[in-house]
Amino acid sequence: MISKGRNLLLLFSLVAAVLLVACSQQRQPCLEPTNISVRAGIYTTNIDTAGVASIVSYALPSPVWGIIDSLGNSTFLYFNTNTSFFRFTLSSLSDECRWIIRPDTLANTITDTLTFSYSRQLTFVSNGCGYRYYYTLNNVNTTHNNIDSVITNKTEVNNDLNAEHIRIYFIKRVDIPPFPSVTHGPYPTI
Amino acid sequence: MLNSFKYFFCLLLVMISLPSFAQEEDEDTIASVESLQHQLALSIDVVQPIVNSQVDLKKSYEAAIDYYWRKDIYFVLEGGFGSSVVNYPDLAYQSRNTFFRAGINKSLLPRLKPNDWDMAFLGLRFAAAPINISNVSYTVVDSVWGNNGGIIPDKDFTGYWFEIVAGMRVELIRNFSAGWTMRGKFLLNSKQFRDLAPVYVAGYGKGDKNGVFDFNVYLTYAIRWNK
Repeated sequence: MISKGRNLLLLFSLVAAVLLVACSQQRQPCLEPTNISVRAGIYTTNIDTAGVASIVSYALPSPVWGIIDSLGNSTFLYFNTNTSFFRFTLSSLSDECRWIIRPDTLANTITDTLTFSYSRQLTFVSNGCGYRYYYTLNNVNTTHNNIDSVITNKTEVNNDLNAEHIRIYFIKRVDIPPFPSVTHGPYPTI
Repeated sequence: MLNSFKYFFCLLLVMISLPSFAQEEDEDTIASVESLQHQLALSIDVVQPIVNSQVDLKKSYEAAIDYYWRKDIYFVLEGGFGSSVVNYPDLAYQSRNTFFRAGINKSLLPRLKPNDWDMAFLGLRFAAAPINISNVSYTVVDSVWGNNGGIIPDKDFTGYWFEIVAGMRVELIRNFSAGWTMRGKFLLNSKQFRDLAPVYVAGYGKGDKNGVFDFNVYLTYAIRWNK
């Protein structure tokens, strides 16, 4: 003979099971970073009063930056003030792309061009996020109007939000007001 | 994976120690008796058809057979099939699979009479599922340089996992029982799922999770014959 308690337990189990399984039909949220980009820190050489040179983080006063598309057209996309960090999205349509950067719009400084060469890896992130391209940086070239050099710190460009992939060393120009060295903060959202 | 094996060995220890606990309990309280019959039980998961009718994205059907060996130990074979459909703006594919599980259940309830087949049990399963994924259509959204999409060819592979199960089964009327089984499932070859983890693998659950919990409700018919 089956007790009333056992029947209730079975009924409860059935209802709980239906609720548990039925609530899982919506698309999972994407919890991974979706903007895969090269993160760059800006640096310059600082010479103190005693004549000793040191590398310091450097905030560009009012930079603008943008892309040169496959047709060679330049487009400035972003503007910021007093920033020492940049993010450059790589094109998943080719193995090379170019970004332009002008350190101080107000001073009408000359634009530099950064050329990124890389290989692409199509990567499945999750059903919530779909696929993303991760990249391996092969080379970063630059013009030298305001930029002294570019050093690659980390070649793997993926969902690691803490990586500083490249360091861009700017020539400290007279027409760029000297900003104090800054500590690293969050990268600007673009 | 380390955690999975930790759970596995903990459960093994518990199961190994159960007979000694049962003996102590027998001496103090209830004497368990051995069945005078063989039993082969056929079970069907009755929740999945209800879920299938409510959810468009996935289908699954599942059945099980278990055979009573002795000392409250049952050999279990389970199997089924299912499919899933993903049709998002940036990701679209279909998957389908069959699955098979083999393992044991150990009943923890003392048998009050030779024909008492009610059980609350712990168990282990090893499972395999041959999976087919259709051509995958994807789009990587990029507001700066432009979207990039393509097709990834279809793929066949096999998923393996093991399960720790717990549940109960109660005989409602002669030879007919109902019960539920809770399952902790731990994927053994997650590398196979890196290129594309199906949104749903019948018998397992979400393919992009290395560990999942699941729940079955069974109706069971038992065939019994004398020893």
